[in-house]
Amino acid sequence: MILLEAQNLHSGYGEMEILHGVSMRLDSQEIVTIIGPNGAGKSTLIKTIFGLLRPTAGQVTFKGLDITGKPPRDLVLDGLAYVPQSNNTFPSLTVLENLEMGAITRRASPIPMPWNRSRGSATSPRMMNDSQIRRRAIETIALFPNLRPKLRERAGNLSGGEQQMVALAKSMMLDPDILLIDEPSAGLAPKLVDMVFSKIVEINGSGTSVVMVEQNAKKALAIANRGYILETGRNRYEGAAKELLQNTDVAKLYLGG
Amino acid sequence: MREVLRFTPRSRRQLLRALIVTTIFVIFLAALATLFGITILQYTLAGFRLSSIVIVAAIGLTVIYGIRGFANFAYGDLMTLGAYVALFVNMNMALSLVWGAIVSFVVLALVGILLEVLIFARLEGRGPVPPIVASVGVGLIVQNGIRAVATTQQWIFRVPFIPEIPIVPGLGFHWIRDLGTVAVGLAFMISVHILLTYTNLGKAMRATADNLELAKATGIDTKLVTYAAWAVSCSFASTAGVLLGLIGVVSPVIGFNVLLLVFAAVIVGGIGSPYGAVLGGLVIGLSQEMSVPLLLGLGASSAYKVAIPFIVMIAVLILRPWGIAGRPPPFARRVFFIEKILDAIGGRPGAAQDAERESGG
Ligand SMILES: Nc1ncnc2c1ncn2[C@@H]1O[C@H](COP(=O)(O)OP(=O)(O)OP(=O)(O)O)[C@@H](O)[C@H]1O
Ligand SMILES: [Mg+2]
Repeated sequence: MILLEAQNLHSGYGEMEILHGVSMRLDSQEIVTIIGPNGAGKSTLIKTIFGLLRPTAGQVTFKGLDITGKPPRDLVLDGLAYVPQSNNTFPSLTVLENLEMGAITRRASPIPMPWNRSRGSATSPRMMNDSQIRRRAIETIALFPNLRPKLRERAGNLSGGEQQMVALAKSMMLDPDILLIDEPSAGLAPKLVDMVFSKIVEINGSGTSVVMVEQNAKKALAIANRGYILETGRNRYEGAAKELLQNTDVAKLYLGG
Repeated sequence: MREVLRFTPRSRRQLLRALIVTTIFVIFLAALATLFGITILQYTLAGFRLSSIVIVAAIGLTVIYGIRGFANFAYGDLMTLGAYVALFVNMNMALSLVWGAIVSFVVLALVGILLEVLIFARLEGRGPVPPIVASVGVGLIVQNGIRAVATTQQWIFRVPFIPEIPIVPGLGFHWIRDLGTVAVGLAFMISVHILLTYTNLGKAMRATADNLELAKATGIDTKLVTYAAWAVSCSFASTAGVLLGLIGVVSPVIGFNVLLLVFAAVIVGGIGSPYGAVLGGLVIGLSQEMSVPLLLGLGASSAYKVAIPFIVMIAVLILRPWGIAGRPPPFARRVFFIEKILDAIGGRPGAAQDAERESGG
């Protein structure tokens, strides 16, 4: 089943168009990886899907419904989550508070306020109170045992790998249908890269479909079902991860020989 | 659930530090009192009184800096406006100043939201300079608007007359001007702490101040957070303005005159950090008032006291360019002298992790 589909997206920053008609899709239970050289527009694609950039043309659909240009807050309520490439935790918040923020869209306000935008949402999301959010945080942290003793540390004081874990945990707070994750291995030592990737596989195993942008093409393709290769804002190659790994052109150009 | 409630190393460290600093300060005061006589504590009292006002204002100023990323130069005049709104209620409606302060608090909160909607929201994403210039304009309009409406006359709040309570000859306190001001300052500090630590709105405010883009991507209602920040900032301005009027007179420049002091407190404490604003306010307020006996002892005029906070500010910035409680920027490699002192008393959080991150990345 097609979960998420981007069709012929044109997007960029201000006047500058970066994506010139990019398409991709994500089926349920899949891991799809997007690879390509620096500046290809991989991050731009994810940001456009997640409503942080508004496409000038093209369409994004989620479970068959048009979500093009829908603000991130609504997408989070719909069941999407996004982990940016860098600065993906709130450094002055504790680990626990970071996780709490991951569930803030579902936080039922003690007083019904007119600006509680959850009303009118088609799926009428399940609201949570503070203790339910806490409980959910403890559940989520079970996936990342090394964060357990650091719940009350400031995220900014953690190591790079731990921060990446916090970002992942934060995005898993609402048990999203889709996780969009931008270069989870950026700046990590090889041992930690494997660790992060195995967490992503674990997350996928628990029922979350994953779109993952990666520089580390070989390792990414090794855990992905399918892959897309972008270059200068256009689709270049796509296919099953195994085929891309074996494709000699792809290997020469993008996998470092 | 157990570890959630545990007393963490971080809070223990902070408590330890606070205790050590307080103890040093008390010993220092005791030494002063024995050396120069107990009446020298009058200056300490004046210092705490000024600090309380500067702290309330500095928290308000730093909150908007944190969320919106610019220094609000209208802040002094918003303080003045707060004092005049309270004055209006106090005089024309013949209500007590407490009611005046409450009305003013609410009115200024709305003024803050209005400023965001009408002016500053439109300047979003254009860097820090346009909103700064706009805030200077807002300040001029508010200050001169007050002059036009209420004339340049000086006013005094109508409060019940209470004589000063002497402790010993030359040392005394006033229930409203001294204890009232300090109590209000403390109450505001505690409220801000509760807001920022225990409420979702406060946590969302800190998150937004940390990283606006990530806050949006996380699903935080950053618009609501911004309005809340303006409401907090400007209502704090109103209370600071009322307190200023209370310890002196109400005139069109009372807020503007202390704006630099408030900026100094924010900078000393570390820009954008409400806890820094408290520390900075204490340093600035106490250094200004407690320098008086020193100046008099040196045969200088006590009028020079207004320069002392800025000398202190420069000294702090030389030792620690990002302020006492500010976070060092990632490119800062030097370990400053004061960092070593902090290491010695209670340890610097994250020192080990810094090293690890450097070697990892
Ligand atoms: N905020 C921005 N404003 C203007 N241009 C931007 C912005 N962010 C990225 N760009 C430009 O868009 C182009 C594509 O950037 P993008 O971040 O999507 O690349 P990427 O494929 O993610 O690269 P990398 O592997 O380095 O992360 C680049 O040329 C970049 O300079
Ligand atoms: Mg990128």
